[in-house]
Amino acid sequence: MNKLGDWINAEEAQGYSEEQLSKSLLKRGYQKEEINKAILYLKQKFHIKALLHIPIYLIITFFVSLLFLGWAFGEFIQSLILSGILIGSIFVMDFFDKKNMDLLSWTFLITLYIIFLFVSPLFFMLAMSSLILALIVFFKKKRQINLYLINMSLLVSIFITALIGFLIYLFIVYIIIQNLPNTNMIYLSLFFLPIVFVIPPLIYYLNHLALSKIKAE
Amino acid sequence: MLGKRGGIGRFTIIWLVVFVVLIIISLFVASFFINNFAVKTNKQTSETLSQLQDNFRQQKYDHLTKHLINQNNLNEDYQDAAILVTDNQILYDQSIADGVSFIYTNCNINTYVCEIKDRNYQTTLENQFNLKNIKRIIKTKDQNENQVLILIPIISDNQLVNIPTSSILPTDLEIYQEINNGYKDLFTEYLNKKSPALPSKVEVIKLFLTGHYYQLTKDFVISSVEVGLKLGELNSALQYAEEEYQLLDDSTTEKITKYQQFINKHYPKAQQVIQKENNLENPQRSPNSLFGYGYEDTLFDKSCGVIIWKTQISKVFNELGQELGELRKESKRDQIISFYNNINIQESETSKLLRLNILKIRIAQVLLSSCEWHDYYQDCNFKCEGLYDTESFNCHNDCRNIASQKQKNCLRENLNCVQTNLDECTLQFVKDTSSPSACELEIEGVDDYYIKNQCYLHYAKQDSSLCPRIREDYLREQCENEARANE
Repeated sequence: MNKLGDWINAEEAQGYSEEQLSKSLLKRGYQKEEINKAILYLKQKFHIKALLHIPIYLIITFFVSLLFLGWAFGEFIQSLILSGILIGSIFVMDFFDKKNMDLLSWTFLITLYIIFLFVSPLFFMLAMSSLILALIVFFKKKRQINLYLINMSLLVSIFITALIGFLIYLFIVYIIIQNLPNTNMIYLSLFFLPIVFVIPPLIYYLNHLALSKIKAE
Repeated sequence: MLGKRGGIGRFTIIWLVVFVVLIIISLFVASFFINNFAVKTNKQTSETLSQLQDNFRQQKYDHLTKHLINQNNLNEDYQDAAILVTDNQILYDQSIADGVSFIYTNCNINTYVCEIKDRNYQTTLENQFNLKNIKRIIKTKDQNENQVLILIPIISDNQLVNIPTSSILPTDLEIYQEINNGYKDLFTEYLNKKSPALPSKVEVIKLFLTGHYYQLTKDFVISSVEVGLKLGELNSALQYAEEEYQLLDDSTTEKITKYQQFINKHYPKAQQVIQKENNLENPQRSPNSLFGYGYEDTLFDKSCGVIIWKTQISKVFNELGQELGELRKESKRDQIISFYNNINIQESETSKLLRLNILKIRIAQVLLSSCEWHDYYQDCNFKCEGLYDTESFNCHNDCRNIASQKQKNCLRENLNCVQTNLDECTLQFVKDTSSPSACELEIEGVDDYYIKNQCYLHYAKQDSSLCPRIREDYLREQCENEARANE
C-alpha cells in the first residue's frame, strides 16, 4: 500500500493528475478500493514542506501572539517552552511520517496535548479548541487531509485571533472604560460584545489564509 | 471551511444571525438570574430585619415580665411558654398550667398591676381565659410559695418601646433615664423599619441595572453594624452603672472625687488617641487589589482590576468600607468625647457617680486597646516581600519583635508608665480604675493571664463572688479561703 502511495506521489510530481494515475492503475489490474486507499494514505501524509506553505507573516505573528499572551497572563516562560515544543514537534512528525510510523505519530500528537496541559492550562485550552475544530474539518473532508497539518494551521489561526481579541479587550479597558463613570457590570460587559463577534470570522479567515497556498499546491 | 473562496461573506452573515440569537438568549438567561438575585437579596434583607425586630420585641417582653414579677413580689426564677395561635387552635406547653393556684391576668402595662384569679381545674386554661391575646405564659411562685401564672398580653410595638428597661437602677435616676431613652430611640427606629417590597419582574431588572440591590445590601450592612454598636454602647453603660450601683455606700462624694481625678488624669490621652485614629484616613483600595484581582500583577490581572474598579459593586463596597470605618470612629467618639461633655450636667450625686464610672471604664478601654500589634506588624511586613527561606523567616521574626516592642512602648505611653515593669504598671492602672469590669478588658502586649488573675484577686477583697473568675488555682483557693475567713 505504502509503495503504491509513494509511486502515485512520484508520478504526481511529474505532472500527472490523480484521475489519470487512477485510470492507469486500474488498467494495470489494481482494484479501485486499493487505489483509493493509496490516495487516502497519500493525502494523510505529513511533510514539513507543507507547513512551510503557511505564509511566513502568519507564522511570525503566531509566535508573537504566543509570547505576548504568555507575558500578559504571567506565563512567559511557559510560552517560550511551548514555542520550543511546537518547533520540535514539526521535525518529529516529519520524521515519523517519512518512516511511515503512523501509530507513533498519533501517540505523539496525544502526548503533545498532555505536555500542553502540564506546561500551561491556559494555552492547553486554546490548543484543545484547535484540535476539536481540526477533528471536525478532518472528518468533514472524509479524512482526506493530514490532521496534524490542519491542527497546526488552526492553532495559528486561534492564537492570532486570541491576540487580536486581547488587543481589542485592552483597548476597551484602557481607553473606553477608563473614561466611563462607575456603572453596572452588565453595561460594561456590552462593550466586549465586538470581541465575541469577531472571534469566529477571524478564525475562519485566518485559517483560510493559512491553508490557501497548501490547497493551491 | 477549506479552500472555498468567497465563503467568508456567507459565513459572516450566518454567524451574524447566530450571534443575534445568542445575544437574545443571553438576555433572557441574564434577566432570569437578575430576578433570582433580587428576590434572594430582598428575602435575606427582610428576614434579617424581621429577626432583629423579633429580638427587640423579645427583649421588651422580658423587661415587662421582670417588671410584673418585681411589682407583684413574685419569685424571679421563672419558666415561660410561648403561645402560638393558629386559625382553630391555641398551641402552648400544656404542662405549664399544672399545679397552679393563681393566675395573674389583665395586667396593666404601665402600673404592672394585674388581676389575680383562681385557677379553675374544671376547665382548660384556654377555656378559662382568652389566650388569643396572650403572648406568653410565665410560671413562677408567689411569696407563699404558691405556683402562679402570669399571662403576658400581646402589645403593640408603640407600647412595647415605652416599657422601661429592666434594671436594678432606680427609674428616677438621671443616668438610668438617659440609658433607657437610648434604648427607646433605638428600638423605635428599628421597629418602625419596613421590609423592602418586591416589585414586578420588569421593575426588578430596572432597579438592578441602577445598582439598587448593591445599595440595599450596603445600607443593610451599615444599619446592622450601627445597631450592634449602639446596643453594645448602651449595654456596657448599663452594666457599668449597675456594677457601681451595687457597690454604693456612704462614700459617694469621695468616690466622685476619686473618679474625677482618674478622668482628669487620663482623659487627655484618650482624647488624643481617638483624635489620632480619626485623623487616619481610611485607606483607599487600589484598583488592582479588589477581590484578589491584580495580585499577580500581570497585564491581564491589572485590566481585570480596572474593570472591577469601574463597576457599581466596587464603588458600593468601597463606600461601605469607608462608612463602616466612620461609624466605628463615631461610636468611639460618642462613647468618650461626647459622653465627657455631659459630665457636668445637673443631676443627683448617685447619677453622677454612675456616669463617671461609665466614662472611667471607657477611657481605660480606649487606652488599653488602642495599641494593636497587628498594625505595627503590617507597617514592617511589606519589607519582607520578595524574600525567601531563611531571609524571609528572619525578616518576619524581626518584624514580630519590632511590633511587640512598639506595642509595649505605645501602651507605656498611653498609661503614662514610669516604672520599668509594664505588667505591674498595667495592673496598677487597672486597679486605679476601681472597677471590677476593668478586669474583663482585653489587653494586648502584656501578661494578660497574670493581670486578670491579680485584678480579680484585688477586687475579690470587696466582693468575694469574683473569686471563681481567677484562673490560677492556688490564687483562687487563696481568695476563697480569705473570703471564708472574713465571713
